Amino acid sequence: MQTIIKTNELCYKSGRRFLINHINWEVKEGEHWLVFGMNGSGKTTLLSMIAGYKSPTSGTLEVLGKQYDKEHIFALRKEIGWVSSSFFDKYYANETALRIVLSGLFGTFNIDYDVTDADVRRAKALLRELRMEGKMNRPFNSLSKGERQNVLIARALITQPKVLVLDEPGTGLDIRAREHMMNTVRALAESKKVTIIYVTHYPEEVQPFMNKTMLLKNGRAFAKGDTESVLTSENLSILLDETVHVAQNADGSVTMDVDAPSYVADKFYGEQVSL
Amino acid sequence: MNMGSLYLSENRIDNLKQRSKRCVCSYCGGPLTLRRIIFNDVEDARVEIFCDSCDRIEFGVEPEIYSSASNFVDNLEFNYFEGLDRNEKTRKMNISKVCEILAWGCKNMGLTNRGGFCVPVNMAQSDWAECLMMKSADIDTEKTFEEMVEEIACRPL
Repeated sequence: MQTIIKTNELCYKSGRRFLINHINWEVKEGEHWLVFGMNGSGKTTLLSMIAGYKSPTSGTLEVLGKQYDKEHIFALRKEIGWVSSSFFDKYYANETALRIVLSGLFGTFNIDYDVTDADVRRAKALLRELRMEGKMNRPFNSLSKGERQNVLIARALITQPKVLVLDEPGTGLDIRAREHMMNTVRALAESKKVTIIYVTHYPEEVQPFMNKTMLLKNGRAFAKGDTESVLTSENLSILLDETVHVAQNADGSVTMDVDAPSYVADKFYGEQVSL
Repeated sequence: MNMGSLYLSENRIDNLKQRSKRCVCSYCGGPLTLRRIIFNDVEDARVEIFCDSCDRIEFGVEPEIYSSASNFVDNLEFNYFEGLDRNEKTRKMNISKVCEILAWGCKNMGLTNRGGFCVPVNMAQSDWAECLMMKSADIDTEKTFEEMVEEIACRPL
C-alpha cells in the first residue's frame, strides 16, 4: 500500500509554545482516519500543515512522497481536498461562493486566468448538488455557517483529490445537511478512490469506515492505531480529563457517555453567604 | 484542466504582480495590491491579489471592462440579484457580475489574453464621461462644477 502522508517529528511552534509537538504519523492508501481531540489540541494546525497551507517549524512532512517545496506545493495542494471553516473563515470574506470553489482548482485562495467553461460547469454542478443553487454569486460572509461549509466541501472536491481532509465538517450544519454530508463522505470512502481524514468532536459522526484513529492532546499524538483499540473508555477518559464510557456497537458506530458534571447553575444562583 | 507550468512559482508571482498593477477591483474599480495572506515558507504560496478598500481577495479585471460594466449597471439598471435589496453592495455585486460576463466574452473572442487586451481598445467617450476621476489640479474655483466636468471629459484619453 502506498504511503499517502508521512510525518517525522513534525512540530509547529508559535512563540515558545508547541502547537504540534513531535508527531510521527503515517497514513496509507485505503486507510480512513478519525482524528479526535479537544478544542486547542492542535487538530487544525496539524491539518493545515498536511494540506500545505502552513509550514512546519521543524520535522518533515511528505505527501504522496513529496515535500511542500516551491516546485510541488500547488500540485500537492490540489491532491488534498481540505474542508476547514475554522481556517478558511479567517481568509474568505467578500469572495463569492463560485470563485472560492474554483480557487480549489489552483491550490490557491484565488482563481486564475485559466478557468475554463468546463471548470465553471463542474463547480456549479457541485454547488447545486450541495443545495447551493441561487447562492453561487453571494459573498462568503453573507452565507450561513452550513452554507459556508458546503462551499468548502465543493472547493475540496472539485479537483477529485486523493486525500480528503475534513476538519469538523458537521459543525453548523442542520440535520438534513449533516446527514447529506455524512452520506457524501461515506460514499467517497466506499469508492476507495480517496483517503479520508476526518476530524470531529461528535461521536455520532464516527463511521464504520474510519478504521484508524489518532487522539491528539496538547499537540501530541496521545494514541494512534486501529479504531477499536484506540477509541476506548480508558484512552478517552485521559484525553478529556473526565470519565468517559465508550461503546463500540456491532454496526461500527460509537456511542460515548461523558460524565461532565456542571456546577454553573449553583454558582449562578449563588449560595447563601453569611457576612 | 491545464494548469501545468503556469503554476510553477516563478511564473505565478510575476503574473500576480503584473495583474495587480494593470487591473482594478471588479467590485469597486479601485487599485489592487499584493498581500501575504498566510504564513508559509514558500513565498508564492502565500501571496494573493487583494483589494484593500473592499477587503477581499480579488482576481481583478481590465479597467476598460470595469468602466463598461459600471456604465451598464448604472445607466441600464441591470440587476442580477433581484432577491436582494438595492444598495451600494448589490450595485458592486452587479458590476462584478457584468465584469465576469464581459471578461468571459473578451477572452472567448480573443480580445484579451493573460497580459490584458491584445487589440487596441477605443472606448466610447460617453462611457468614460460617466466616471470621471478629478484630481486636485483639475479643480478651478472660478469655474462651475459642470464646466470642470466638461473640460475633463473632453480631454483626449
